[in-house]
Amino acid sequence: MSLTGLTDEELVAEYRRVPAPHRDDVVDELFSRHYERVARWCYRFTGDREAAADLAQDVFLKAHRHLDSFRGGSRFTTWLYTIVRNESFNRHRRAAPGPDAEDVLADVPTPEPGPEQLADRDSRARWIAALLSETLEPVERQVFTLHYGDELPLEAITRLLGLDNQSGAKAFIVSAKRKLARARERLRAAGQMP
Amino acid sequence: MKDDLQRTAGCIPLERFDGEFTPAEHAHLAVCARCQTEQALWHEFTESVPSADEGAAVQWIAAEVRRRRTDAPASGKSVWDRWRLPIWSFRWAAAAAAIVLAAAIGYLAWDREPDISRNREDAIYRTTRVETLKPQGDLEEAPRELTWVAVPGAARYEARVLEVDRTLVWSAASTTPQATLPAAVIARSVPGRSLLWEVDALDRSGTVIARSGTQRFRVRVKARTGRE
Repeated sequence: MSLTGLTDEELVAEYRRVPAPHRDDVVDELFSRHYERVARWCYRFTGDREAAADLAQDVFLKAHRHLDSFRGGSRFTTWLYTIVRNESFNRHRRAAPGPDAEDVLADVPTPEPGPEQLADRDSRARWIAALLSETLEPVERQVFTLHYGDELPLEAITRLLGLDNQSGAKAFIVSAKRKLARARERLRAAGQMP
Repeated sequence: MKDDLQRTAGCIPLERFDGEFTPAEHAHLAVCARCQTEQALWHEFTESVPSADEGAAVQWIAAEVRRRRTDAPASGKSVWDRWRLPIWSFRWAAAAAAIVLAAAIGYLAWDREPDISRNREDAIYRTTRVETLKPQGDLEEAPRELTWVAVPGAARYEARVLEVDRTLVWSAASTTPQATLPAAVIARSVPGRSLLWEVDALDRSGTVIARSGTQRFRVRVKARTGRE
């Protein structure tokens, strides 16, 4: 049977079915379809070819190690994405200091911290989410979340989101902070801010 | 703030992004910056194509990952073992190199009469450098080939031309100490534009035994005459 005619998901099923000596061929075919996609993500994430190659190798190592756990609940590409995404972000968390969160905290409104809210983190998260949703444009929200939530550098965000404006993610962070500062003033004027 | 931007129990699992969302998931997505961001990233991963300025780098990375996987000898090992092999090989090679180096230093430090029978040219055999010949520096016209000095023990060479930001332009393997440049690369070598090139020497097992430094060349910009 030709492996090239099988879908990704059928290849994983074939991987489980064939005896161990033949599994290499199946994995070769499966991974070869995704080398470029993973390489592209890793290059955008790291901005460096050697680092991207190391990251991509780790991704495929992990994918192979956990291939048996793929149950077809999603497309293989999406399953691979979860590995790529988590491996990239975990590596970044281990390696890099993030942006100075204190600066932006001064500009971002927070809800009146009543006793219930202090005890309920989800409530605050929902409040922040609603504020971001009402105040920011979609790309501003994404850039803001990646920069302050995941502490990714702006250059990496520019590449990951495929932003092709001249100053990339920086322009969106600047406009997001400006809009959030205005929102804070409005809320303060309405008595909803300390 | 950072904690408020993380995934919560109500967030949509990443594996759900390629399926049909439920009404509850739609409602959540509409107000959750985290899920909107994750969806945008997932979309970039699954749908986007390399831009013009990253295409060569992406090709290089994909080829490098493929090479790391396929260069390891199969020999009945699982794919997992094959992936790991270069790392183990490297460690064993490094340990072996350290032992050889220590032995060599001891041998050289041993007080003895100089051996005048050895050919002076043997020294080059121990080098880890590929001596490049041309092109180098400013040229009158675009080069047609890359040439270098043969390295003893080399089974093949891998040459590559790069932009000055080290983006790969072209690469090729050769069993002789020269590589003919294709027309597309020659066409890139326009007057005033610098390009880089490098070459690695590999033995029969595919191990790099010598590398050149990075060479730079460009076609000289010709001065205009007053009559032009």
